[in-house]
Amino acid sequence: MKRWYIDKGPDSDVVVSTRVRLARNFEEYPFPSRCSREQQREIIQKTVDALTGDDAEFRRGFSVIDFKNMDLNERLVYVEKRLVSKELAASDQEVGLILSNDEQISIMINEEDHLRIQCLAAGMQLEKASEICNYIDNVLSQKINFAFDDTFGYLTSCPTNIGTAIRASLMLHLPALTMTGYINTLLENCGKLGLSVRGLYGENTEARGCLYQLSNQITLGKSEQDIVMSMKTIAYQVTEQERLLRKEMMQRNGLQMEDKIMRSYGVLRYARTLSSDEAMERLSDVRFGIFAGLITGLDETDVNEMMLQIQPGSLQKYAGRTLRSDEMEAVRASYIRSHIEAREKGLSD
Amino acid sequence: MPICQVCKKREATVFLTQIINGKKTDLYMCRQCAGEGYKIDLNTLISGLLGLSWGNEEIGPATQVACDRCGMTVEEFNRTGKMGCSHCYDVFREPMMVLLKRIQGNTRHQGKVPESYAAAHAAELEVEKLQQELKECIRVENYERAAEIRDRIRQLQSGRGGR
Repeated sequence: MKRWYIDKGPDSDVVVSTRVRLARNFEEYPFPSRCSREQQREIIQKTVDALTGDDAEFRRGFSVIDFKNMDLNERLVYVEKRLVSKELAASDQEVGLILSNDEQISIMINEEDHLRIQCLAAGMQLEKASEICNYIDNVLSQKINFAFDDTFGYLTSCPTNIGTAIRASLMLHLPALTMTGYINTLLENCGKLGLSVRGLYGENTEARGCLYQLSNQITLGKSEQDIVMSMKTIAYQVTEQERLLRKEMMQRNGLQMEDKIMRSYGVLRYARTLSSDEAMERLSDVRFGIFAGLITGLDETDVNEMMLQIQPGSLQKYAGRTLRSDEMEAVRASYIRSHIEAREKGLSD
Repeated sequence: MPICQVCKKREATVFLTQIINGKKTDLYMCRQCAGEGYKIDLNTLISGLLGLSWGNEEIGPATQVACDRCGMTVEEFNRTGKMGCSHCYDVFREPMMVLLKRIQGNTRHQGKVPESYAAAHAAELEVEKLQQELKECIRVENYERAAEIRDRIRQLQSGRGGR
């Protein structure tokens, strides 16, 4: 499987990516916030040993990342790729990271819980991602005694994660629901069904680029399969509503919609400075345009990649240096321009 | 527009609604406060709703104020919303039940069980059953069968807990 942001997954017109995460803790150690540095280092070592144990082929699929000694911008790139949480990146503790070479599986060590096993995939792949997490958990369980209670299930640092300790999330692109304002009704209904919806990307977490993250809130009292299945059902309904609305908008206001989308495409293709907000908004329009058949030179993976690369950490990595905010806008515009230009010339893969 | 419940200054533009078992909680925040990684919603809710408390109708008064393994106190939990170690869940089982009912709507795990745990549990159940059978065998003076059962129980008990 390819990295989530350059792969085309099922239902990718609406579902950008899937993430499933399991929280696990060692029985014999206190939770990370009460561990000594020495204990935290032991936990990292034991996890690495448990995962990379005897199977050489399996072992080759993973790398142990020296996250602790990584500079902050490099850490930020991992956050933007969604491979680690903001909390792990901001931690001054003995944190660890094991990453599969395809960047699909990541294991965060000594975040809020000892282990956070995470699987990322493009589009709607909830079952596959949870199967992979389950498999990694089984591998680790052979060597590690995870904290488990007959009544409470898997024990976690925060009681909001206890039980299955599973958090399944979908990143959804919902431009039509956002533009028509129906999104508010949707958010309310998802809340009633035990799901949380929040905006994604950016420091001020409003839904930039019409991207939303849908996740389960309840982790106790429902099996992993039930949690995943009910989420999938709801996500399909949201997806269908979004599709219907897009179609309706194109039928009713075809010219205005086409104008809006193509203007955004023009701005991205030629602008010399772009704020993060504007770039996300324009890229969202272009993503809509691709699936409405208006833009043919790009596909959704281009948009995913651009949305990722224009975030501050990734952009500074691209530039190879720290950027002031005004420089950031120019580099952002230049990166997007060259990406689109390369695609137009058929140079990009 | 309502005012942000976190900073109590700016206009709230982010709304968080949580409904668990028909109980609705609304949280209004401004962009800035919401931007603090949404940890705020949890922490705010935790300090208000998610504390461990005793002395209500459901459970009796507090019997212990700190975990005897990691030292976490009730006050610390109510401030941070984080347990100190897996043993804390044993120590604070009763108030935790009340809390979980409120935040999760459930108190009993369903789903995956670690293989080693399931195996240990299976052994426990088998031992119980065999002990009943053993009593019966002794009663009817079937010592041959009783010896077999005794050996099987020993075998199961020695294997339990080992990984």
